[in-house]
Amino acid sequence: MDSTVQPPYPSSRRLIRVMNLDVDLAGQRVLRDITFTLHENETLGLIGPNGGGKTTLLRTIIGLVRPSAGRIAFAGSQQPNGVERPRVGYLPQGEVENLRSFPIRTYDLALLGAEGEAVSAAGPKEESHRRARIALRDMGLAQQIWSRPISALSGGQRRRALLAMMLSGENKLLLLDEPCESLDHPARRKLYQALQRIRDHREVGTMIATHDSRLLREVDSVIAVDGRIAARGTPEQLLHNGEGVLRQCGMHEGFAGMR
Amino acid sequence: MWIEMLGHSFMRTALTAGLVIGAVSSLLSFFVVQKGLAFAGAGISHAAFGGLALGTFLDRDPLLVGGVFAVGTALILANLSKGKTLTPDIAIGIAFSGSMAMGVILISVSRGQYFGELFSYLFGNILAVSSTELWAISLLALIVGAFMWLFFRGLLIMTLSKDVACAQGVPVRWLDCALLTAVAITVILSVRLVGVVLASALLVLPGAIGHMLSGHYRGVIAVSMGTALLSITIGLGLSYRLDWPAGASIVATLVAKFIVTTLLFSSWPSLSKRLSGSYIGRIISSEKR
Repeated sequence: MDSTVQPPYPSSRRLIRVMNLDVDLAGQRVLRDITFTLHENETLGLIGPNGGGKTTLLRTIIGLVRPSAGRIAFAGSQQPNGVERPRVGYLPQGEVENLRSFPIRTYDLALLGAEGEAVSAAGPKEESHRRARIALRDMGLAQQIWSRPISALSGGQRRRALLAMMLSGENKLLLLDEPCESLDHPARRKLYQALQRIRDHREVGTMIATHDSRLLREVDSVIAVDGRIAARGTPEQLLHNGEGVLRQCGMHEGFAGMR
Repeated sequence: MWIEMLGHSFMRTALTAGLVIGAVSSLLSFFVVQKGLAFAGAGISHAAFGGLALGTFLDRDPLLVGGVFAVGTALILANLSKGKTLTPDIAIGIAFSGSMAMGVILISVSRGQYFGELFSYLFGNILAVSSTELWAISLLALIVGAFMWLFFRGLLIMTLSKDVACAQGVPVRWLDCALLTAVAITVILSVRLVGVVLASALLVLPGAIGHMLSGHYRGVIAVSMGTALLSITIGLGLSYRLDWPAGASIVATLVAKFIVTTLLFSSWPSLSKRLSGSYIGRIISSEKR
């Protein structure tokens, strides 16, 4: 199997380079010798069994977990704001800690994502509002829901609102952990389309940890993680050469539908 | 009554100090309630008592020594994480009781010499605020207020989810330390007003009432601030009229408001919806779509 995957656009800049990464959690080695590169406009799928280390890998990239060995290099490592990595939109797995009880409207959540944490909004205020509206529509949230408090939404709608928060921001990197979780089929379709649009129109790199084989049709390359990189390649390469790995990840049947 | 009350310069100073402290603590109260820091607030304020007692005993400025204790406890708490053997909860329990024990021992060693002064730190003595202290209170409140204003969005995202905030480049560790330090400073400011035992009430009740009445963070903060300022004014009025202790009167007013609000909105949940709905409605109509 190929050890490198060509970026989707030859001119794409490299966003992250992960080199020989080892991660230990509570004294146990969870990830071993992980090496890969992510480019702008590239979407990378992470597959693997439960406990394979997909979430840990995403959390290590953000800096929530400290690696035991290896390096993560970000493009143009020193950012203007002094942070050593670009702004990342991170969608955690499952229900987000305090979101359910947080007093905020759906619209304002998307707007918070667009404006970011800076004291004054990054761009013109109208631009932030525009981005928030687009992201909410992209996630299929009807306008009558925008004014509702987030606590009044269903679990799936809340997940979509959180995705809108990630998509509305000027993030250079999107790390989505099981984004399809609790989404119905129309919402999933909307998500696939939104990710496609982002890849085509914005210089953003995306990593998606997923068990949804349909979502893997949208990615440029796939890494199968099971404590180490068990396989990598384009979805087609994995389809033709990686049957054993896919079976191990429980995604064999889903991929069969792509043949 | 109000005119007569405000005719006394010490009452004017007390009310001004109360309103300044009320404004800053109600602003912090939103984050204390949302982040579940109520116990941390109580722990920090009780930990300050050991410092206040030590300062009194050593003839140093008690509020300064108490402040060092409060900020020290806050910084230790901010650097403890869940999932380890020493969790924030356990650390608060230790700091809380250890510091109180130290204070009680110092009272005993001094043979009750400082009892009166330390008692006022326990339950507050707003009428003893000097104009110099009022300036110090205002300056510190301004610093805490400026911090909240400058880092408001970062604090919001961090309260929503630390992981999401960290990914977006919010300096989560630093903000956590700063937020708990702001709580510690506010606790020390509140010592004169309500005392260490009641200080956490100002950090918890306004935010809790705000949360019941509004579904939007701006609304929660507005209600929280209104509630705190009104309760401090009413509490001081009660204290003046009925000769009740000022700190206890303020806290009793806040608790009464909380109970009335709870009863009102548990009996008529639609009232809450209508209220928060109308607030939200106003914000929406002012925004372009």
